[in-house]
Amino acid sequence: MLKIEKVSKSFDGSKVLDQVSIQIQPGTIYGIIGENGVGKSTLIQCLTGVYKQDEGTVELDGQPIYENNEVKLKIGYVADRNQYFKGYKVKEMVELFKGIYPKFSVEKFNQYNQIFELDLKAKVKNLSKGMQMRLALMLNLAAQPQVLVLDEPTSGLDALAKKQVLDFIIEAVDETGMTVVISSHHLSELERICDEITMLSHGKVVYQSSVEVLKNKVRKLQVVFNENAPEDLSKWQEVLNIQQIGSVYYIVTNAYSQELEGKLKEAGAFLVESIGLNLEEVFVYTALSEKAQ
Amino acid sequence: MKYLKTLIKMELRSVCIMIIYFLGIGIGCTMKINQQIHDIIKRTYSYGLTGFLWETNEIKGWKYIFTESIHIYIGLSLVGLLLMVYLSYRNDKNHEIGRFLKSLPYTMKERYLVKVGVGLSIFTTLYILHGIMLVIFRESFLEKTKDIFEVTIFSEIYQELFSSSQLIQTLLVVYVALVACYLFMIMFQYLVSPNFASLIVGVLVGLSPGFILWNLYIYLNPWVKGELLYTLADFYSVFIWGDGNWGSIEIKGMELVPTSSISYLDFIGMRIAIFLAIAALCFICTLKWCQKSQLEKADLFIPGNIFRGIFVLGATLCSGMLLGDLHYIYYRARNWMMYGLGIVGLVLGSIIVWKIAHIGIKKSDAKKAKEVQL
Repeated sequence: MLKIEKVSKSFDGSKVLDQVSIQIQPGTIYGIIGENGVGKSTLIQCLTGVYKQDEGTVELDGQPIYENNEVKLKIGYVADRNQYFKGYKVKEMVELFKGIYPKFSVEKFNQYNQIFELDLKAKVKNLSKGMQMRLALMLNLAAQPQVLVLDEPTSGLDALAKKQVLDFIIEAVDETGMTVVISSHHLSELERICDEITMLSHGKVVYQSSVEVLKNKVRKLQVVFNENAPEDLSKWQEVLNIQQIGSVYYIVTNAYSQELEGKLKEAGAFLVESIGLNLEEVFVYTALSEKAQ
Repeated sequence: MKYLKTLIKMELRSVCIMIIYFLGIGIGCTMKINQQIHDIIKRTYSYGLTGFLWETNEIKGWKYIFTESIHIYIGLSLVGLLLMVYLSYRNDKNHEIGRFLKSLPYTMKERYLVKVGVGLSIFTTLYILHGIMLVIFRESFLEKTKDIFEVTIFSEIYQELFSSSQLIQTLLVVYVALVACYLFMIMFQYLVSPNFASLIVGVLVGLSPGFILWNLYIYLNPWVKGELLYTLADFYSVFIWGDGNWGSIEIKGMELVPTSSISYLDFIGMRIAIFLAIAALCFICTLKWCQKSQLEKADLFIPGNIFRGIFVLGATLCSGMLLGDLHYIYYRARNWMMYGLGIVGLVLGSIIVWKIAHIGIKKSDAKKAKEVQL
């Protein structure tokens, strides 16, 4: 199990991660979402042993990750930008990974490459961004890690490449049972593949649950009141956002329940209708509410 | 061990061009000696003993057959070692590749040891090769000039002039000194973040003791008895660059007799001991610091607070001295202008140095202020 407990990380006094705790069960696809600069990449880099957390622990199966070779052997890392030596050819990168990771399978790499069709003789610097991302993914999958960490793996890819990469990840998880931690701005994609997600805001965990539970919790309610809406409606703890169009109020809540519906009816609502939100909408309303605070 | 083999290969690949470089300068310097030997022999056959002395003019000059080539070799090797340090750390200092390297299952200590191991192996192997070539050429030189020496007044001392133990000792001193320089420059890769800037800072810090001593002598001479400072500054420069003792040779009858021992270099034992101590200190300090180095501090020009303070103090002092020093060199006069310029240099230097030393920190302060505003 991948366990992040009370992790804080500061850069020159500015706290980027603040007491973040996440537990990721083996075999799950775990998403980390949040606005730019909320600490997603910092968290990812603490997970892969690139950064050292100032406080707290980051452990895989009870062992710390930072400066721990044994644990790092079990973790694959696909960064958001090209990370490999520009002068190396693809086949030289394969040789490099083969030498580093004992479980690396050239057969598997070749098998993956039948889909992505990278020229083994091409130099890394001559590959397009999408190609480089595919290479990173193939290399890390062929290394057969216990945990695969992906930082914005689909940014800058065209629609077809995005689909290929995501399908690839799902297949690999099905096939090997590996744990995948993925951060992305493309929330519709995460919604499709993630079992659970964590939403970060200002370095803190805002939501942490399965996608379904989150979507059940964060909802938009279409409400019509008999008379005027309560004056303190916008200050209700459950309310993230209110919009009024004519006599209809659109209330976004982060704590949807039958009790909330009852509370609204008690406050004079004669119509309360729940509308489901997709992950992107959940993210947008939560981010807006955080900013308003 | 297999995984370390891959790391060694990776490091070797980034500096493999240096094998060609060091091989090139080794061969070049040896060819120069060969050419000089040929010229001397050719002239001797043409003009007799006059031809032998033609270029050198005096016995002292003979040493240049070997030592001049060693001097050239030292200069080119220093450039090569700087280049090797730069190439070794080029990938590590690249933000993206640096992250990839840090995510690999190698500790910082392993990576440092492999880098140093690979660099020293390349340099040492090619240095030994160069040394062997020099010894072979020395043998060849003595063999070819044996008959000439025997009929000259130099017959008694020529073995001493071209002593193989002197040559080997000199090569040993030069090797230890170059290794110390290499480890010193590597240490600066962990003290200063940008790759190229760390080399510049390293070179300047290396030269600064001599500069400070020389300037203390210039500035404080009217008040403090300057001889000690001058001697120290002189000793420092001789220690770094100076040759050995070649002057005390007397003509006794028909023979030349050295009155003091001839040496290519002075203070050989002390030099070896001091350079070894510097090398060991740099190695141990870097081994300790490399484990603490963090990729996330790569934006800071100088990540460590203590070294940042030392850098600010030292560089401010040197920049102040530099301005007054330029006046002294130009006018050869200690006057109020020199001291005034020194103070101006100190003030200007402190501002510039402070800004340089705090590159990265300012940026994050600005970022913090922006966050507070938000």
